[in-house]
Amino acid sequence: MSYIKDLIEKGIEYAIKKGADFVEIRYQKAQSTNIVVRKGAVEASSLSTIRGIGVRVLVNGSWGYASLDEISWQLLERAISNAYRMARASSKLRKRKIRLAYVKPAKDRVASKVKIRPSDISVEEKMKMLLEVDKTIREYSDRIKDDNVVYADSVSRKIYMNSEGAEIEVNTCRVRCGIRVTARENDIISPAYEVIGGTKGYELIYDKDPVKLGVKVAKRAVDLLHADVPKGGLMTAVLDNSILGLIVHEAFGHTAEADLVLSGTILTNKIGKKVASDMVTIIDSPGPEGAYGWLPYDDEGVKGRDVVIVKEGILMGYMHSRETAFIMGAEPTGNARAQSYAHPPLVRMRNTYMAPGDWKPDEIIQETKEGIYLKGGIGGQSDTNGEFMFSVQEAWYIRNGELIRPLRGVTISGNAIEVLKSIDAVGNDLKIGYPGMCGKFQLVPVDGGGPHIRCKVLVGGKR
Amino acid sequence: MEESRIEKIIKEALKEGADEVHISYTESESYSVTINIGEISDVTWRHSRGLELIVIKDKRLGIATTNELTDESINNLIKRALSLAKSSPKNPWWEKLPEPKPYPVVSNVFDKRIKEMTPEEIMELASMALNEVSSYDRRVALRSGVVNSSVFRRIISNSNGVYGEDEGTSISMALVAVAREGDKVGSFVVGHRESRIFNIDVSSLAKEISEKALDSLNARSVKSFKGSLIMGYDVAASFFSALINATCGDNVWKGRSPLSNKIGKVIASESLTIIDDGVKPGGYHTAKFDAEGSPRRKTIVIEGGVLKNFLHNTYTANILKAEPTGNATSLLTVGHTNLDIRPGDSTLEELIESVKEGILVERFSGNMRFEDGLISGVAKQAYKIENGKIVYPVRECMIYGNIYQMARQISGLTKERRECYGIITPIVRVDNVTIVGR
Repeated sequence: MSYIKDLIEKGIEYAIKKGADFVEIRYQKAQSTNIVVRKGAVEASSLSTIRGIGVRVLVNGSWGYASLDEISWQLLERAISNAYRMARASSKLRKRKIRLAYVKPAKDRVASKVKIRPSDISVEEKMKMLLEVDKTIREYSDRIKDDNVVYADSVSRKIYMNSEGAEIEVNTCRVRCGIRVTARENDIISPAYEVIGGTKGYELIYDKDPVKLGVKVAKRAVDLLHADVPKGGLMTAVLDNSILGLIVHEAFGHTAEADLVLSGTILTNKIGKKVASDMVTIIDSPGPEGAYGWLPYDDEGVKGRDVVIVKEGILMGYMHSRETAFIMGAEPTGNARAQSYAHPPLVRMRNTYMAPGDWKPDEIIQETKEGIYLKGGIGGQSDTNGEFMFSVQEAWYIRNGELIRPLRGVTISGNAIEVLKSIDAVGNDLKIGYPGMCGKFQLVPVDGGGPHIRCKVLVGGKR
Repeated sequence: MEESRIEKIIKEALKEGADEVHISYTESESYSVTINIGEISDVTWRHSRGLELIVIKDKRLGIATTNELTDESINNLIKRALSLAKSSPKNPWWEKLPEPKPYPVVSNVFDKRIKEMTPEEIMELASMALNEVSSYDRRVALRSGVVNSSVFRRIISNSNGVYGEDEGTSISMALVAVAREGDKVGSFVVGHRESRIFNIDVSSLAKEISEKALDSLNARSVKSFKGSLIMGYDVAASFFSALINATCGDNVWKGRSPLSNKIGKVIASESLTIIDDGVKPGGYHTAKFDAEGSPRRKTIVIEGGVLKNFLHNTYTANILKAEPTGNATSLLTVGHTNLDIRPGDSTLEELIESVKEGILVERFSGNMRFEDGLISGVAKQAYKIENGKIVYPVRECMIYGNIYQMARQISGLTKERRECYGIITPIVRVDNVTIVGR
């Protein structure tokens, strides 16, 4: 690695000599395995390696970014010259000069905890595991018409250095397994989905047992074939950890990303104001250890810290990069993330969740006279004004504290703030562990969740 | 990467024990300028290459990719692909890689002006977009945006003697605008233009998204009703893309498509004709060959409402005893290329005129699932139509329908068409759709 560090150091010196006010260089090497099994066959499997360098320079208050995938001084020099030229040109068009909030330059080396390295497990064994999951699913019922079992692992080494003296190395290992099942009877199609994943090694697969999970998903898909389609309307709803996590991330979290806040979201100018019920506290965290969005340092070399976005219903703060923190007079939070060395960082979430309350989840349902219980999300969308729409996997009507009838094809929509304000019960069963890839121009791994809660939400279905 | 080196890699992989070898190599150089917080924010230059090697041994496939192109790492790549193939179960349906066939001549897919563009010129486009939007109305701002120019070169080759080399350029602009007035925040509005040659109309895009963003400030909710749905260009493009996914060979073969046994049958209104055109001059997806190295071509998929053909790669064509249509997205998967949805004879005004109650939707966010046709999601940037007139912009409301039913219920297509990422579509009216409001 010292060859790479020497090259980076030389690059930083070169950029500063050229006239850059600030420069940061990121090196990354990642190796990954992807396997897709579908209906008894390996549909795709690949091993891939990428490596490269990204250079970001700040000149006269403007950014320039260049990336290269050939590790040589000639190309790095060309990349730096390009980045410098672009930054200078950009500074002639910008009104506000970009400045960075101060961060003490860190020197650190961190690695995620791994018990079993994915590379110590043969590809055969990984395929065997997936084929076993697939077989179990298909044997569950002849009404299962399609399935898709996807495994991915990646090991990445990142080196971050900047002209302020930061020097950080982060080694990360992630494992993920997603199971999608489609059951069909006549014209009715019923999909179900589960995913497990973490910043962990292959032990995740042994701990979580995907075969068992496969049966659960298969059962759900088949059971839902005979479920009713709901009537639409505004309803009292009990949300499980997963669908709440989806709302917290997609519909609310994005509106608290400082870059979006600055161009106008539902949370702009709302610090200190009430944006949710008193029972609601929402946090974006670099941890906990093992979470899929684990991020000890962000891609600006900032040490991650918890961002308490909402505390007891009051909006407390936003998630920041060094640039947005400077604009808003806040502290950087470690939320600047890039998909790879080829992308400049953006303000992104990590592991975003709602803090637990004191209701037992069962009690929330028992204390609900008339309503709907919603479990698990399966796709959806949201907007900067807080409006969202999600498809729900499982749902039941609640009458007099009991689940009475399963429902399928349920969608929910509403405004995140209205929904958060309507919360009148928060469970004590915090669960984080809903890994996903979040896309805001670039894909980054995230996680999140929360407890069970009760709120009011617009439920959609056929009339 | 030159032809001789590719040949050498193929030979080496065969020597190491592969029965068949497929190589795909791409290299690209691109500039992108992003807009964030109302200003140009990141200006990026990216130089990237990638090599994908697929080896087949005894009907077992192994895929390995890398962007490290040293001899050592390529030798490693061959070993990894072979070891992956050996660990994989047999694919009993695998027959063979495609044989060489002549490639079509394609036009308007490479523009020297894009290749030679400087970052300053691309920034100028972003700057124009910012100025046009902010001078349109002070309440509207660009929340974000990206202008991208790229030039790429692609090689596909295999051990049967297929060798294709293609190059292309593209330029695109995508903008997200949002309007604010006091405490009111509108819904975000997405607009885009993309082209293979240097032809981007920034002014019309800026005007279009600014108008829509302002409209969304005054949007009202609607009560649930059943009526006509008029799909704007982007919505129609997603609709037709989902419909055509059901004609892709892999979905047909695996029983995922409800259209599996419908060749020769009426599946849509007779006004509907759709051509998959992989060689359309200047098309977003236009190329000489597909991902397996088969020539791209034109295929009539739906004609006058009748399903005519499925789309195939060599793999699915062999299984279903058909001809490959140049639609490989990989050796095993199939996708549509440019879709040419034939125009109708109405103007948008005429489509609206005869609607008693309905909704015009410019952006839809949600699912359009070809497996069972389910459409469910939220109408964004929508307008209520009553008695033949647009009466007001609509706040989010949900749309429920079924792709296959809706295809039969098409009651009008406009003369005018627009291209959305390779799908050239008119505005489309469908009757009897369920709209769920508050």
